[in-house]
Amino acid sequence: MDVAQLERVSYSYRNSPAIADVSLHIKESEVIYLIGENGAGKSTLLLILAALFVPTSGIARIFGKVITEKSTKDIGLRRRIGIVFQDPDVQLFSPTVYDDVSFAPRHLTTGDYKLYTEKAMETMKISHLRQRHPYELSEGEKKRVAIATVLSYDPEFILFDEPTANMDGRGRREFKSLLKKLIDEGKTIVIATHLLRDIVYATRIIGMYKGKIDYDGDPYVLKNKKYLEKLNIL
Amino acid sequence: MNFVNATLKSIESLEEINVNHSRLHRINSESKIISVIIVLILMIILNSIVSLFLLLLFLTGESLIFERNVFKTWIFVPLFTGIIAIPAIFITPGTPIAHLGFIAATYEGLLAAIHLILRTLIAVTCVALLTKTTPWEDILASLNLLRIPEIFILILFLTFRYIFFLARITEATLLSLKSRIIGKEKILQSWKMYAPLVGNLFIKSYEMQEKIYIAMNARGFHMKKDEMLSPVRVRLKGINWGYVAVFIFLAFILLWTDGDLIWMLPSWSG
Repeated sequence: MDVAQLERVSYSYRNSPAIADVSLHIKESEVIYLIGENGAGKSTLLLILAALFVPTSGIARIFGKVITEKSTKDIGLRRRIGIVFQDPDVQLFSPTVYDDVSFAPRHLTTGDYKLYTEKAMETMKISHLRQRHPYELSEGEKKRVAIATVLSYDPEFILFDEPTANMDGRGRREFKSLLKKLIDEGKTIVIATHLLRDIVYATRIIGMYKGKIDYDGDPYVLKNKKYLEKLNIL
Repeated sequence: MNFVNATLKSIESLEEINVNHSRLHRINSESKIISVIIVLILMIILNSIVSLFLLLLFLTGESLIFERNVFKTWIFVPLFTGIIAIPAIFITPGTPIAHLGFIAATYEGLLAAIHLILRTLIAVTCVALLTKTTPWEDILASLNLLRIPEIFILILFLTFRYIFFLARITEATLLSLKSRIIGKEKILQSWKMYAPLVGNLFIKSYEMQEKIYIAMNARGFHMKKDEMLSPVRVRLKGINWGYVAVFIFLAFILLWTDGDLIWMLPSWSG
């Protein structure tokens, strides 16, 4: 079954086109990296895949549902999709770390939200930060909390926007092992990045260039120096 | 440079919340909110400058005993209220007490300015006492229990969360400016520098609010205050009647004497 189907999708920010004519199919358990320079349209594509943006033209189907203004607020869809934003300050809006991590389980899950919250905090090793205000944390800590806020409701389809930006070496290593764990659990993962050194476990690479998909295929393209230079990420 | 340093210091002080644990910190937030409401009502209905001064004196005493950090907020009062209060001295009709060229300062104008400054100081002090001695989430939960409208709580919640973020951006921008300023800046030059900074902050906060709404939506937020307040914190601890009684007694005394105190001011004979 397709997790996402995009047919000739375009999106513009106030008359300024961000992505144009993008067609894409994502299958279950794929690990896709979106690569491209800043401003290539990676983040916009992630927001459409997260069913948060309605395409300006074209059709986007996520888990079989056509994305409209109404479906962006569909709880059933929301609990199946998780997105980790590039800027953790956007993602963390609650008074304490615990409140932030427990926010989604309280509204999107049916079981005991405390269990989900504790598990996510343990996975991201942030249990000791539970009573801290998110604005007090270091950039690396904020990033870990931001990831925990998504892991806490256990979505099937997880999107990461530049997940290793602002992370130190240890943080990046920990992210890699988290990724391995999520892959083993059968999650479908899409990661937007311009950091080639952090690309691991990829089953598919999508190269974005000036708002369009320029390459969609296997990860061997990462060895093509000329192409990476064209994308301006080398 | 002085402006940059002063602004940076005020940004630092913005984050100094709940660092001490005085007795006032231990009083529950519902009681403190009720006391703030009493003080704000008194501030509006008291007419006498003496009554207002006594109320401010009471709050000053409370701050001196429990939370001296409150006085830092007084720095902003002359800056913002002064702009409104000073013209009132000259434009309010009444008995002239001094002449400044062709305009005269009036006794009634002076009283109006003092009234305004006292009221501002009272409002700022009681709200600062509350926010500096109470965790923000407790204040929100108490407002919820006191049936304050949902939209008001939501706005307060998001303002609090992102005011720090905006303060950080301002701090970083000002530090970057500071690193590039050599010598003493001229007033006109500084206005030219700070005007784009304010514009930039406005644009950033506008962009930020759009992104935050998307991020909240991504985790199932649909503009309901209960989605914001952790259920662990939403609990009624019971009002501390001893603390509230002090304010009720103060209100009773001030309201009783306000009519008499209004005559204690000397009338200007010229």
